[in-house]
Amino acid sequence: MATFSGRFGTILGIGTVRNWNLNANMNLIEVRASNTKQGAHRKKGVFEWSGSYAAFGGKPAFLPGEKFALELYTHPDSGTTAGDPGKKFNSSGNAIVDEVVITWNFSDTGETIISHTVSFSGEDDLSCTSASSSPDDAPVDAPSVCGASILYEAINPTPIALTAIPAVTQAVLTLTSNNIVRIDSGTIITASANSIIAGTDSACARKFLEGVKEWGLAISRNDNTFYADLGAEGVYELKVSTATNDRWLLKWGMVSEFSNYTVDIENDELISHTTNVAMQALLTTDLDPDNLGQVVKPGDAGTATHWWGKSD
Amino acid sequence: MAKSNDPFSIVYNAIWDQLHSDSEYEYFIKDLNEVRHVGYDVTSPRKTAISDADLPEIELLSLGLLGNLKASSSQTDFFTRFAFVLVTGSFDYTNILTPLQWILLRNLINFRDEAPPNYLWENEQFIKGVTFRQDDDLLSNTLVNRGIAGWSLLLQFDVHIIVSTISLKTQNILLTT
Repeated sequence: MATFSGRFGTILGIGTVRNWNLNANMNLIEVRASNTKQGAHRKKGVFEWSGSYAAFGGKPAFLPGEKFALELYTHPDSGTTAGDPGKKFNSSGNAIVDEVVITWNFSDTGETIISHTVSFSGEDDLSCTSASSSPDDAPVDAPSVCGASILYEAINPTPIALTAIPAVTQAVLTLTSNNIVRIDSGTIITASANSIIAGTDSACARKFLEGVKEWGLAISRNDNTFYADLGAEGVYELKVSTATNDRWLLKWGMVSEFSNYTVDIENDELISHTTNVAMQALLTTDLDPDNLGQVVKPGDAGTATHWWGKSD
Repeated sequence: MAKSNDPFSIVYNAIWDQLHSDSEYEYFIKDLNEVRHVGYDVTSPRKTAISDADLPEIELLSLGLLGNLKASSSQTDFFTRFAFVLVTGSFDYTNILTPLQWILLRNLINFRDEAPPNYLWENEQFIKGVTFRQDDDLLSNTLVNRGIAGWSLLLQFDVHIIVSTISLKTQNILLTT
């Protein structure tokens, strides 16, 4: 069996992929009875699979709760030429995104490219088959380097005009969807030669429904302030830039934690701390649904397509 | 030529000011034996004919920068590496080299502790730290001591500078004369 590096790996429809990984679990059910003579006998349970991929850029192709047909390509069998026939993983069902983590990192040496990780779960079966060719990489979304700012605007109780938060060394935006799992006994997975599921037994598959949404933003800074800018009581609108005039809009957020205030004497490091901001669906003083917030992906401002919240 | 008020110039001049705040330094080093790379009238710029009165001689060199143009969303930082080059012209280790070595180290830590609030760039403290790196004591290194017999030393240190990125982009640095 040939061993390949991952250098020609791709994912259909997704560009600038750094790596991907995949896990499949049969959830074997253990049986011990008089006829097993104290030995463990196992039957196949619900089949589940999940994975993640990391890519450059601040605008993931898919957001939590969204389903997509997943095709993961490993490496061409020739071992030398991208696009040659090789192996791919795919499913008769879809992958659904559970979590997206986008990282802005200023503090490495030099400017750092914004990157993200997409975690997904799968429904139905999972197969590893031969592909006649691996796809060309998707058009490259030229990744933005961290050069942009993180802006905040206080709404309540003290209005503050849109202002940049200074001295941010890292920002991590996490978007999650607690997707609802439904076990589908009607979809019995059958074994096949190329399937991940070998053997003669059959198993139930998972199905998904889009679930509860949440976001969190962790902002790490190098300065000597305490609850400055983003205070403990306020409700904020945040804008995290991926490029000039291209921003994630997060309405609204409240500070949930102020942590890791570090004064490193031994290494003479800059003082640092982290502020965590959590999702706030409505303004605290006004629970009118007209004041429902938004989470808007860069480029979606002014459209009806938002990950969560009111349309523009 | 207009003078410059950039942070590197401020630091370079501030280091000399620090040395001159030390009476024992002034006891050993005459003003004209300082090689300052400043302005037209660089004092005693590496004399070619050396007499006893020209020694000990001290020079402050910049060895370059390391840094991060985007250390944070709003800040740029640099580690500016400097070196004192001290040429004693003497083989006396204990009475010439070591006291001067001690005096330089004493002034480094004083500079580290006292300079930050006293030197501002765009109304902000910009000197964030001073780190001693290495001291090489040499008896024969023609590159360092220009062939002058006796002890010399090359003492390297970093000055950590942080400025706001916007000031790096936009702030004029030339002082009108």
